[in-house]
Amino acid sequence: MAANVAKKTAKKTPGQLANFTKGFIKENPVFVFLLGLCPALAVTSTLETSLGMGLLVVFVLVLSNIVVSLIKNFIPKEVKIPSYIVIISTFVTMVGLLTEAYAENLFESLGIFIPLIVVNCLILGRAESFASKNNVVSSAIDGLGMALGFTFALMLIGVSREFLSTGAIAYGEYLPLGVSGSIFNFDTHLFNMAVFGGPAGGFIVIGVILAILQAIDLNKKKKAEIARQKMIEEKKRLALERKRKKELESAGGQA
Amino acid sequence: MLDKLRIALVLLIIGAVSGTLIWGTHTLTYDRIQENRARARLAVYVEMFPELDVLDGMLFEEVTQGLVQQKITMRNAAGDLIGYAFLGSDTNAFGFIDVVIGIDPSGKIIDVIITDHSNTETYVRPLVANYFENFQGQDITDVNYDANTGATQTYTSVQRIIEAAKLLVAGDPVLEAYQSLFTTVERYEAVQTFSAGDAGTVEEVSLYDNSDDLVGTVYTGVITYEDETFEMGFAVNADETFAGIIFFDEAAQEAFASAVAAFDTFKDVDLEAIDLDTLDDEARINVLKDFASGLLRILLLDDEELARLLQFDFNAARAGESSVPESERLLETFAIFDEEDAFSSQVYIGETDGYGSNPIEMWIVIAADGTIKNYAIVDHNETDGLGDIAFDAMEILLGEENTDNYNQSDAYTGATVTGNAVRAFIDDALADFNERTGD
Repeated sequence: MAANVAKKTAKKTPGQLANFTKGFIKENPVFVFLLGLCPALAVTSTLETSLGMGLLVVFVLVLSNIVVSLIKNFIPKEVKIPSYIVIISTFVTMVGLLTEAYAENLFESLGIFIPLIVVNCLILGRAESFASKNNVVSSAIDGLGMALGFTFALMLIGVSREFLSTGAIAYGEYLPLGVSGSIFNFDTHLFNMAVFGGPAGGFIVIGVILAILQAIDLNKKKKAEIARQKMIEEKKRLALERKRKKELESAGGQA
Repeated sequence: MLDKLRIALVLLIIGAVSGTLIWGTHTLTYDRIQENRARARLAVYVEMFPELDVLDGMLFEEVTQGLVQQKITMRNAAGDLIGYAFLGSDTNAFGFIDVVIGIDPSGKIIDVIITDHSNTETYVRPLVANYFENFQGQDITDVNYDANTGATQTYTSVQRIIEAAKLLVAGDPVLEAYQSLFTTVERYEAVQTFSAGDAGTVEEVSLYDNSDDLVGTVYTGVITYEDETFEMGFAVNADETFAGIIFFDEAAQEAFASAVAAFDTFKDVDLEAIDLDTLDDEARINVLKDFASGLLRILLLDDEELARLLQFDFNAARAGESSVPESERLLETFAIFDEEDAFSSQVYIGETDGYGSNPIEMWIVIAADGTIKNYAIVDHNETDGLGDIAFDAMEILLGEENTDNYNQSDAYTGATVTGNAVRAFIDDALADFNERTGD
């Protein structure tokens, strides 16, 4: 009996790990599914605002996934979506108030994009496609993984844009860290391209990152294709050799 | 049925839990958010007035008039006056907007800053970046506004708040006119508008001191002298005695100075004891006399019913029996008889369907000779602007006292539905009138 439980646990562990990590690269909401592009473009002018938005989404997505999963069996299907929206907007309102109280600079900077988290398709998408069909633990892990993946994507865009537009990566400007300064600061005009601070810069950076990821993916597929072709040719060669060998053997037998 | 109840119950529970969570978070964060906002405003004041003594240098005064809610007197550490800040807010089609206007002691604008708003950020940001610098250094009593900012709603709100602040700095000319007679007046409020015969349409304005006690009432209206119109007011003390005549325009004040002085002989006299015949027969005095007599006739009436009738017809002494005409639009009609008990006019009260079948409540008075004597739109839901075009046009046409004129549909092109609705009402009234008089 104990061995069975151990077996089951052992089987589940890698499943939950995959569930957690899938949001980072394999199913990254921004780079793979192109979800939540609106905040990804609008609030990623600096690393800190990107991280701030990411953390708010972590809070909302994890909690809404947990609640949706908990009450999924009680919600009549006719009012499923409205109920999810109410749940999500409750957490968004809470997170908005908390941000205004404890991180006012971040609140000022994110502005309208905090209430707009309600309509972030990533959150409603996970509630509908995952949390409404899975248990609480899986839903929480899925929410956490996806939200961290979203945060990672935003931070990657944010760090690129901030660096290209200012030549520095600042901290403590928007998040209430207690200290402020720059992680590094290249005081040169080379990294002073204001366009990356604006929405156009957001499009350019996302475009470049998507292109790089596509190139890596294509390269991988190309390599796999070459390997496959090689394997096919090798198999063909082996089959031919076997055929020739058989022919030689049958010719020798006849002789 | 049970399914629906279940859905309702689930939604109710979700709503209740959501509400509780939001309420709890709001309670938890409220004080801190208020502190943050106060600190942000203080930062704005310090930015405007770098010398400001933030501990003792600010005197906050609540302002109750206009869009400005707070006036803050700013002093430096030495106690010298360094300027004023006005905190105002307005609501436009895109939401609210809070603005702080800082001026130096000479009235020059230091800066105009939007502290909070719910307007579209995309419009607000370039507006602030490109147009707000223009305010700096301008005299608040004579501000030059930009015509095309690309953010009309937001800019208009800012403009309205600046104009409200201007009144606080330069003084409200209307309030000043009232203060020339009632020195303790702090605010005024329009109470009602009514028709007062020869005095025309009169607005009753109540005047209050800083304890919110009534100090007097002014009946404002328009008089015409040598083809020019002047806005004036007939002022009455709180104890129902005459206080004086007010003109709101400086030129008019000078032109009518002697006529106003003639009326000053009635100062502190009970309204009932005013005898206008004792005044000289002079053109300007006579214009004021006509206004005063029309107004006093209404004010001194104890009889509410007669006061109502006088709004329809100034010759009214009594009303005939009320009846309901056949037309759907006409709800009530009655005859008015003058002091000699002769038929003076017929009143028609009713409703006509305006744009989108919204009712336009109106009445019309047809004189004994068949001309339209008076009319009023009591209430309507017509589109702002369009409905007014029609009503204004009708007013002009009916002012001619010519029953044929109202039928000129061109006069209210652009508001055909409203115009036709009013015209249909008048048609019905005239048809009924002609039937009654046997024409």
